[in-house]
Amino acid sequence: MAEPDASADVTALLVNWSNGDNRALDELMPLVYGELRRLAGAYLRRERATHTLQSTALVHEAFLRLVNQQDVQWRSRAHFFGIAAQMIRRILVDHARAAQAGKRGAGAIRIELDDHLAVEQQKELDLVGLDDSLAKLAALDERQARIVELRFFAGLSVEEAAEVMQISTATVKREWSSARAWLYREMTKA
Amino acid sequence: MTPERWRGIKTIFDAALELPSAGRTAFVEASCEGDAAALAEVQSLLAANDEAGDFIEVAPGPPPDKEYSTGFSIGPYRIVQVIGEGGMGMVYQAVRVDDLYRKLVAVKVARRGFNDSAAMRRFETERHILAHLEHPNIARLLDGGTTVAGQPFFVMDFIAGTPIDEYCDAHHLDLASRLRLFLTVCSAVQYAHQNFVVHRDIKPPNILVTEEGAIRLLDFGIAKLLDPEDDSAGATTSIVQMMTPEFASPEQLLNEPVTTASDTYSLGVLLYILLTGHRPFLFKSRMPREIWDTIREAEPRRPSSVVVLSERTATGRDITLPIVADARAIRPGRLARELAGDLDTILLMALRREPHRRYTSVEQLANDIERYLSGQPVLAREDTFSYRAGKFVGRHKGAVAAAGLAVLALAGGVVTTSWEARIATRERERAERRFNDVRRVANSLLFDVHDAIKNLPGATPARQLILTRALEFLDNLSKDAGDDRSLQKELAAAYERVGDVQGQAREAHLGEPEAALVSYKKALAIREGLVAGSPGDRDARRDLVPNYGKLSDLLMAGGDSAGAMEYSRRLLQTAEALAAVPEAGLADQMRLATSYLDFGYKLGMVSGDLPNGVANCRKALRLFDQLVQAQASDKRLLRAQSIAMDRTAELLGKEEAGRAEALGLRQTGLGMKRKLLALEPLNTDYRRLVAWGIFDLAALLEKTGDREQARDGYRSALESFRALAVDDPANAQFRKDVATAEAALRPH
Repeated sequence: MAEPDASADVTALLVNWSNGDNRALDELMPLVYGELRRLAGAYLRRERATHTLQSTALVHEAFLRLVNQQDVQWRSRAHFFGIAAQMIRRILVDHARAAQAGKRGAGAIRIELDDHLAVEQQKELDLVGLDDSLAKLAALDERQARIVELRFFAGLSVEEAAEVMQISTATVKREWSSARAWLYREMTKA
Repeated sequence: MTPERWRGIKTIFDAALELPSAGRTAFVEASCEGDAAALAEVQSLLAANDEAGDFIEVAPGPPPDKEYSTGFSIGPYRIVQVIGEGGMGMVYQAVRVDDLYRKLVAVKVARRGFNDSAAMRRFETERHILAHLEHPNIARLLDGGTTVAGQPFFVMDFIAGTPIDEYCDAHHLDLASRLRLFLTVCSAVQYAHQNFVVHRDIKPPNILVTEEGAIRLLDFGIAKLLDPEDDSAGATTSIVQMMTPEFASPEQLLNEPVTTASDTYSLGVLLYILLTGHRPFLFKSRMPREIWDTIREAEPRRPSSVVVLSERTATGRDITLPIVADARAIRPGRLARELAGDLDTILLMALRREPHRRYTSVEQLANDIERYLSGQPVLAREDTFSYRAGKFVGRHKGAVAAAGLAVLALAGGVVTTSWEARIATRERERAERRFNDVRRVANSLLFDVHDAIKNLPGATPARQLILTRALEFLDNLSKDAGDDRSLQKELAAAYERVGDVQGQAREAHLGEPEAALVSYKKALAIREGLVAGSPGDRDARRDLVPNYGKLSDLLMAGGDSAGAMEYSRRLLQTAEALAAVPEAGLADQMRLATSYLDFGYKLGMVSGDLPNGVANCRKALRLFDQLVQAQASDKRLLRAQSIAMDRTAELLGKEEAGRAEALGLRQTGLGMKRKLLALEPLNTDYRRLVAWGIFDLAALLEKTGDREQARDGYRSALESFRALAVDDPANAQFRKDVATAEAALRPH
């Protein structure tokens, strides 16, 4: 089936929402989520090239695919990234949880010893743990958790996050650094 | 910890970070003002900050792949050399540890493992399928497995070679040689398709030519192996992640099912490059949106036109006509000419956006190339208007005018092209054949567009524009038609169609009768000319009948009774001529019967000559009787006969003396209609026929004074009309029928 021209709908919804129509958000969410899910799915199955900012690329691509660039103001764009960040976090974390569950089951890959191999275990980021910790942080400071979400999951820069949250870059930097410290401590607790 | 407390902690932490590390401790101690817990908190945070490194500074991604080096083993294969990074992962040259002959293989390690065992199983199945592909031009998949780290790897013949495009350029291969090389590629791909394997990633780096000039295809279906869930509707290939989106078919980019036709497309891109040196699409940037929009909307650049352009690749390489021509051992002036015509058409057909409109198989593509090479006509056809018209009208319902203009402009364009081809010296025959297709297509254009615009409510301006253009087109075409009889027949039919749309004589009171008249007359002029030129051509003569009929009806509706009668008379004469000969068939007889009816009815209604009108109608009825006796089960015949009875009854009913007979006719007619409806209870036309039969009978009964029965009839008809309207709420005619019946029931 050919790609329906969803961009008109999403753009309109986005604009409406950022102008204050909350019902537009209800309609918008599944559309954006669907797109992100599809993109993320491919990414999670067969990712390529650099490991940096892959989720950023996803969110940007979802934005490009879904929204008519000419029609949106910066404000709407900020809104989009706000929700996209939440969604991509959900998607990646759900995936990670499922993967975790799988590994503990019978399908786990046997580890073989091979002394020819230079064993260099990469530290894989524990997304599930991060998600849990982030939830705890949100209880303490909602705004900080949002900033982390935006910067980490949607890969926004400090400036971009500041725009989305409508706060100064200095504030973003400060919040980011204390959040990071807190999360690190939380996750490295025994 | 509460939010308020946290805010306080943060403030101290933030401030402390501003200070050089030396002064921090003192500052923090001072700021905490004896709150031991707070102090501990801030201190541990500062410590965490120091330790964190690049914790979450980097967006989430997969762990970097394990990379191997020389001497290491991947399964039973020992790496001899690191070749480099391929599309799906690292590529290593290796030998099998236990292999006496030390045969060189290529080991490709994919980037990421699978998360569930179902995917693993699918992977294994696919791998076995691939391993059984045995073709001289396909690099064999020898083995495969999974590394300790969970990365799938493949082992294939190690091929030392040059990508096909580079090879062709380096050896200055001419067009024919390149085509022949390409045919080898096709045979390999076709073989794979026959074994249900789609390559999915056809591009020059995957098609190597060895030193000896042998072709080897690599990475067959590898993309499918790595993405066993690719068939699911949920999978999307992110453009961002594609290394070479230029070769990906539109359906791959747009998340639609990938089939062997996708390989055909990629082969098309490959051949395009081999023949022209350019890419089919020029992407202004590599932004996903740009690529997506281009593939979705733009047409591939015509090969014969693209070669004259000067472009520069992203890597800074120049592509100009002299360079491209030199690589193809051809004089720059000749290249465009060589590509124009069949090669253009073949390439564009392979590159059609819709999979089902490309060559149906790689073999077909190869065959067409072989035909080209041996100087035979190719099967490929230029893109057709009716198809484009359909797509346009479908997508831009509100902007049909624009669509119509665009489509018809295209129509004009292709005609010109065809005529230039005709004027050119070579393959006159081929040009003519193409011209025949053009006009056949022009015809369907009008039909398709007509059907589409017929249903547009209130789209008169759009309709107007399309009609204007259509007429321009037809007028131009007819100027050049010469003595091509079949072309003229189609032109006449096209004019008639245009007239239908303009006049809508039998339908609502919209339309421009004058314009319709002109169109019908144009059609008629052509047809009368054809009959005059070849009196034995019965088909040409038959075409005259509906033409006369429509002209007559139009004039009748417009109040020109003399003109209406004249055409009706000519219609009858033509029908008589057709029916008079021995070879006349049932259709000819039926046509004669309806012609009598038409003439007779109009005589009575329009000219006021009731006696002669009725007389002709009776002729019609007698003829119908004879025909029905011969072909009792022909529904069309029965229907026509029942209508003939209606018309006759209408004439008879005008005078009191004729009412009794009219009543009888109407009743008999109604009986026939009910019979038809019994045969096809759901047929809307029959339902309406019966309802009107009841209504007309009721009207007659009213005239003869049978008020009660008349009202019963009206009520019954109304019920039927209402049922029809309920079944098809959008139908304006049904609503009118209901209104008519309701009006009849009101006291008057």
